[in-house]
Order: sequence, then structure tokens, then C-alpha cells
Amino acid sequence: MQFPKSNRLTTTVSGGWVGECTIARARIRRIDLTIALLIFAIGFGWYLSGVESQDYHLDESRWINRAHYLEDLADPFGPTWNHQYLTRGQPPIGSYSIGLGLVLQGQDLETNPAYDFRRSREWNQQHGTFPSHDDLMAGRRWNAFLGGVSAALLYLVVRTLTNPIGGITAAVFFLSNPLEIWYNRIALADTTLTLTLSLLYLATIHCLRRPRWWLAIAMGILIGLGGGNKFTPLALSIPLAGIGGIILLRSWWFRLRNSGIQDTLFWHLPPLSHLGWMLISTPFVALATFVASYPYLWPDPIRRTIYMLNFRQQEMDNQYRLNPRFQTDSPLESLHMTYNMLGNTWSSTLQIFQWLQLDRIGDLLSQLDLWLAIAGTLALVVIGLRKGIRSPELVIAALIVFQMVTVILSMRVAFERYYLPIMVGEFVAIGCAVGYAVAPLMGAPRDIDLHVRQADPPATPTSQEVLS
Amino acid sequence: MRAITITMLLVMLALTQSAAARDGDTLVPIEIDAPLLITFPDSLLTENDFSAIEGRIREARNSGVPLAVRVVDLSANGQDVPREIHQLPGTDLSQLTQAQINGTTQAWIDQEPVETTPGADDGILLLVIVPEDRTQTQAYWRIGPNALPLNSLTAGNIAATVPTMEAQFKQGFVANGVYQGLLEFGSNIQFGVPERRERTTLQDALHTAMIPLAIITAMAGVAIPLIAWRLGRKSTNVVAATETLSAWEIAAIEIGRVSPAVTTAMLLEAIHDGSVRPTDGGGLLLSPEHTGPVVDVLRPFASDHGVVPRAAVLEIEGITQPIRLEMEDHLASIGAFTDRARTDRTWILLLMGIATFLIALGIVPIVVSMSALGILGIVVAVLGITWGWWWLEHRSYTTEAGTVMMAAWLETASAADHNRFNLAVHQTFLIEQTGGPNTSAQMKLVRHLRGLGAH
Repeated sequence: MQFPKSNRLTTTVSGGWVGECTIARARIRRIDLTIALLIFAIGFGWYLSGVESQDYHLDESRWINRAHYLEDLADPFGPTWNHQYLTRGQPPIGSYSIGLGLVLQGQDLETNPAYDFRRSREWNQQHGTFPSHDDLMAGRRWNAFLGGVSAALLYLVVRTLTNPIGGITAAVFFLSNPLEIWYNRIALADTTLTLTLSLLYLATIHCLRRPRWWLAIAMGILIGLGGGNKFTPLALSIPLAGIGGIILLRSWWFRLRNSGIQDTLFWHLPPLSHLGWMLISTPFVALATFVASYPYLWPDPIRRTIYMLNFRQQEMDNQYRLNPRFQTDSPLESLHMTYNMLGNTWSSTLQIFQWLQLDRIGDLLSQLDLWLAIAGTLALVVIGLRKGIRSPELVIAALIVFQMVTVILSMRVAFERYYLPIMVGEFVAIGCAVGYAVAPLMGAPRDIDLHVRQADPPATPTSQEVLS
Repeated sequence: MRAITITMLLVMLALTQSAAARDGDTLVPIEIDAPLLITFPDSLLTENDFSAIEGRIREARNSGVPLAVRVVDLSANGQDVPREIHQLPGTDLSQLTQAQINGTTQAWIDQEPVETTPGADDGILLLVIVPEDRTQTQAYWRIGPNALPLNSLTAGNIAATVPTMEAQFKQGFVANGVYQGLLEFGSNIQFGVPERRERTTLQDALHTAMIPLAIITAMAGVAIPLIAWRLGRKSTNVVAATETLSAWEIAAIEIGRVSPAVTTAMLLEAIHDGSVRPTDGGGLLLSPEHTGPVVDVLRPFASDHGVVPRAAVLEIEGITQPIRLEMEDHLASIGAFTDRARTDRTWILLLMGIATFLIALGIVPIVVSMSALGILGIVVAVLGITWGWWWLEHRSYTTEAGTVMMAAWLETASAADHNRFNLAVHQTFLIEQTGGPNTSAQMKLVRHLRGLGAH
């Protein structure tokens, strides 16, 4: 067989492109950082501008009330973590976040008593369950800050998957979404979850691009923190571990058939530095984080988690009974309701056109969010399948779909806040759709000096050789 | 060993003691035999008042509290009322001693148990005695000896409802007093501040036993960075050799170890000189005419036609490991790398193993005995392990002699060698954030040759 010669340029040497690429990368990194900071500043300012005028949400009383959980962490066997209604009712990460926000703004963690939903508003007012203005504003400002950070992270997520245009699109859709605007201007826990999920997506992309244990553990911790906020993110460890398992099995199979590889653990298993192990570790790290962050669970982690899940189910049943308007009776109905709400009520496109006083066009195009999100998810899947199972695109698509399916399957009442975790994936997908669409306009990257012509396929079938 | 056995026995015994008085989730709705509310006579309360008070009791039971309320008009002559009630003075009930109150409520419970299961004695009774002068009405709580701890209720916050009720009673509002008291009681169920869990005798013993374990665990955690720091300060006795080093070896000295970036740079060089070429299917075609470390190490995985399949390229980090090990050994032998790397690594791994073992050993007894010191020990040990792990991953093996060799080499190296050096040293930076539709061919190639698969 004729071995093809390299057609490299004679004037260059191997690796000569490294210097130029390094400079280019440094420049791109600076630009990305600048754009991300700009998005953060715009987002923070935007959310902050509305915290005073935003209507009071009764749940704010509960979240600000539980801010003291943060300092109670120092007393993990104290009364706060007994088996009691408030502690059992809600995992504590959102409370820690609000507590941290209050502390960072000089507020103490002695706040209002919790709002009692069994009693009238008057009774609650009489018993001081409404937060003080200072506490309320501090909590809201903190979430405005976290909302700004989330917008910047969404830019980085989509920019890392596609290009700056995609990243900016994701951030714009996020910042203009009416549901996000509402929730990032009030003192609830949902913004913390949005931030956690954005960080998870970013960590996942980087871990798949260049596997590192600290990133894999960070992914597990983020999933655990997400679960410690709203439970459903715990399910995200399933696709990660599943993909990790497939990658590991494939590698193991190769090593069993090629005993020449010395870098193995035992029984020819890949070493611990292998990506497969990293991804498989995520459910374990997530569960450990979930339990470690929640002293209530320590005396009996499994049983108390079951208590919590049963309670959440019971609450969902109560809400189902009390809110006929939001009832959903099947996953299909939930999906339909989600489509309707995200496409018509909580649509960024609609909001943007409304700001432009083009309400009618907004009404016509309000479902553009969803269409773009569907296109983006499909693009991620197709590109991911083409690249292979180790591609960040495929894993991110799996996370987006898994998060959506988990929420829809567990939903019995379609409260708007349940859509927030889905929407993080939605914005990522929207950004990716636009990013891929404009990619041809971004200009092909220059192949500087290492001209590599791919070898001609060998005469015998490649597939057989690959199998051999 | 004996200490461990005793500790385990204590843990087993302590675990059998339930944290709550009742098993299971004490917050879920509960049903008991005792009726919610009975008044003597039946007509003591209006229908509306009766219904409102019943609603509050039902609310308590829905929150898992086995509560019953009995309201007795002393003038009533019902047979169901215990004799002790009728023996109470008709006026000035506030002068009753605690013993008299206890006797009265106990008499009621003896006649009509309020409990979740027969004999459990875990119910809570509110007995309201209404004398002829209604402003003298009194409310007595009877808390079953096995009722608490229960949710956020405490003996204190239950007793604190009495003044609320009395304030209404003094105005002659019996029903409203009971209602207001139960409202407060209901709030306490969900939002009161529960009492700190007390340790049992067994837990106390275990808690004492955990003190030394907590200290040892924390010390194991602290020892990891300390020993690592000590190991890092040990100087090597090997004098720098004066032999010529390759660009790859110098790059390894700069990186601090022979990372996969070095072997990938060697592969890129091999592609550049034509001895290796990427194929359409993601594999590598090896030139039959060329030899060299990377080509040689890949050849066993190639087909007869010289094609290394994509599956092997994905495992290229493992396949090229012998080159890295050999280079590390060589650099250690000439003093560029510390020759104690493996020994140091073993020490740190051993310490990390000890810390992990101590955590595993202590975590259950520490939680069971509610040892805050133990938790602190675990936190310190986890931080130490994390630090050790970081150190193992990022520690530079390069010695001072190695740094001198590198400086000398960089002064005299050709432009081509500088590029090879850069190809390894800056490679990670190149691949770190690349991806997406606008990734250059070089980036994709580097990622591919790192065995990172999809970019």
C-alpha cells in the first residue's frame, strides 16, 4: 500500500501553530469573560431594578424564616434538625442560600416566624409572619444577584457548546423571560436552583471535554445541592451514570481483548482516571452531598428521605385538591400544559415583542421559544450521536430531556415554579439552536500550519479492522 | 479491637432507641379511638363552637398529634365523668395543687385512654373544667408520658397555651378560650421550637468514646498536608546530569510530570513527519517505514494494514502509558525529577487511607451519639483527604536540578524544539475550552490524539 505523504507547508514546523493558537485562545477567553461580566451586570441591574416593586409572594415568608438554617448548620444535632414540620417539609439548600444572602448584606438570621397557610392572612399579620422590609429586600437583592450570575453562566454554557452568538441568545432569552424576571426578583429558592443547574451544565461540558476528577465530583455535588433544593435534580445523576457505565464497559471490553495495555486497575478494568468512573461516581457523590447538607437526614437517611418524599406527595395531592385550575392527571396532560405555559404564558419572545409594543406579532410568535428549544435539543442529539457518546452535546441533551421528563412525571399540579428547572435547559437549547444556525456565518477557523490530509481508507473494510 | 467491639455494641444498642416517642413519621395524619371532642353536658357548646373546636383538634390529628379535648361543666351529672371531677371544688379552681390536677387528668385517662395504640399512653388530653362561675373555667393539659418528643411540641409550649385560654375564660368565653388555645397549640405543632434531643445513657457513653476518635480523625486529616509539605521540602541528592534532553522531556520538566500532553505532542510530531496519519474512521494509519516511541507502542494495536482503530485511539492514554513511565524513570535517574515520587505518593495514599478508614469507622457512632466534635473531626479529615488528592494530582516532580536543566535547554534550543516544547506545554490550554461548530481542525486533532473522543 502506498503510504500517503504529509502535505505540510515546507516553511513551517510542527507545533508552530501553538503560539498563535495560544494567543487566540487567550484573546477569546478575555472576550468571553468580558461578555459574561457584561451579561451579569445587565442581569443583576435588571433584576435589581424590580425588587422593590415586585408583589409580595407568601412563600417568601417561609424562605426568609428558614434563613437561620445556615447558622444552625454549626449545631447539626440541635433542635432545628429534629423531626418537625418545617425541617421535614423542604430540603435546606434554598434556605442556606437565602441565609447567606442576608448575612452578606449585614442582616442577622433572626427573621420572621413562618407563614401559616392554615390560618388567615390577618392572623398571620397579627403574628408577625411577614418578613421585615429589610429582610425581604435583602433576600430579593440576593436572588437578583444570583439571577445575574445564572445569566452569565448560561452564556458560558452555550458559548462553550457553540459560539458567542448562541451564548448571548441564551442569556437574552433568560433575561427577558417573564417567569424568570418574576422569580429572580423575589426571595425564594428557585434562583439558587437555576444557578446550580447552570453550573452543572458548565461543569459537565468541561468534564467531558477534558475529564478531571474534581469536575466530576463538582458535578455530583451540584446534583446533590440541586436535590437538596428541589429533589428532582437528583434524577440527573441517572443519565450521567448511565453514559459513564457505557463508556466504561466499552473501554473494559477493549482492554479485555487487548491485554497489552498496562494502564489498568484490576481484571483489566480501566484506571480510576477514566471518564467512565468519573461519571459513574456522580450518583454516589450526589446522594452523599444531599445527606451531608441536610442534618435532619443524618439519624436515619433512608427512612427520613422516604418521609420527605411521602410528604411531598401528600402536599402535591393537597395542592391538586385545592387548585383545580392547575390539575394534571397524566404525564401527557402535564406535557401539554407545560407546552402551553412555556409557549404562551412564559414566553421570552412574547415578552420581547410586548416591550416593543408589537403585541400582535408577539402573540403570533410566542411559541418561538419552544420551537427553538426543540430544534436546539434535536441539534444537540444529532450532533452528539455523530460525535459519539463522549460528546458534551449528547450528555447535555440527556440532562435537558431528563430534567424535563422528571418534572413532568412528578407533576400533579402545574405550578409555574415547577417550570423553572425545565427552563434552564430550554434556554440552553434555544442558544444552541441559534448558535448552530449562525455557525456558518462565523467564518471557518484557520488551519494555521499543520496541514493534515486524512489518510486514504485502507483497502480492506475498516469496520472489520476496527472490530479486530 | 476490644474498643471497636464495645463501640459497635454501644452503637447497636443506641440505634434501637427511637429518636421519637412513636415509631414512623409522626407528622402524618393519625387516627385514634378517642373521639375528638366531648362536652358534658352535650349542649355545653353551641353547634358552631363545637364544630370550630373539632376542626382544630382534627387539624392537630392531621399533623400527627393524638389530641382529644373534653369540656366538663361541673354542674353536669353525667355518669361518664369520673368521680374525681365531681370532687373538685365548685369555685376557685385556680387554687388546685399540681397533684390534684394530675390526679384529675389521670383519672380521666384511666377511664378513657387517649393513645395511638392500647397501652401506648402517648396521647394528649385537654381537660376543661367549667364551674358555675364561667370566668373561673380552668384548662388542664395531660401529656402522656410517651407523647413527647413529638414534632415541635414541648411541655413548655403546650403549657404556654393556658394563659391564652385563661384570658378568654376570665371574660366568660369558654368556647373561644378553648379555640384560641388550640389555635396556638396547632401552631406549636408545626412552628414551635422543639426541645434539643437529649442523649440517653448509652448515647452518653458512646459520646465519650467518640472524643478520642474525633481527635485522631482530625489529626489524620491535618497530617496529610503536613506530611506532604514535609515531603515536598526534602531535597534530592541526585546531581543534575549534563546529558542532552529532548523537547518532550523538557516539556515534562516544565509541566512537572510526564502528562498525556507529552505523548500527544509526540503523536502530533509523528503526524507532522508523516509516520502517523489520521484516517477517516477516527483511527490512525502507521507508516511501515517509520519507527519511534509512539509508533512502536501503537503498532501492536494496528491491523495488518497498519491501521490503529478508533476504539484503540480512544484508549490511547493507556496505550502510551509505558512511554510516560519510561520517561519519568529516566528523568528521575538524572535528577530532573525527584526519585522519591512513588514513595511520597505511597505515604500520602496511606495517610488518606487511614483518614478514610477513621471516617468510615466513626461516622455512624458519631451521628448516633450526636457528637459535634466527631463531626468536626470528620470535616477536618475530609478536607485533609481532599487536599491530599489535589496534591497527588498536581504535585510537580521537577527538582531544582531539573529546572536548571530546562533553563539551559531553553537558551540553546532551536525554534523547532521550542515549538515541540510549546506543543506539549500549552496543549491543555488549547483543548480546554474548544468545541462546537467553529472548532479548528488542529483542536479536533489534538483532542482526538488525547483520546478524548468527541470534541
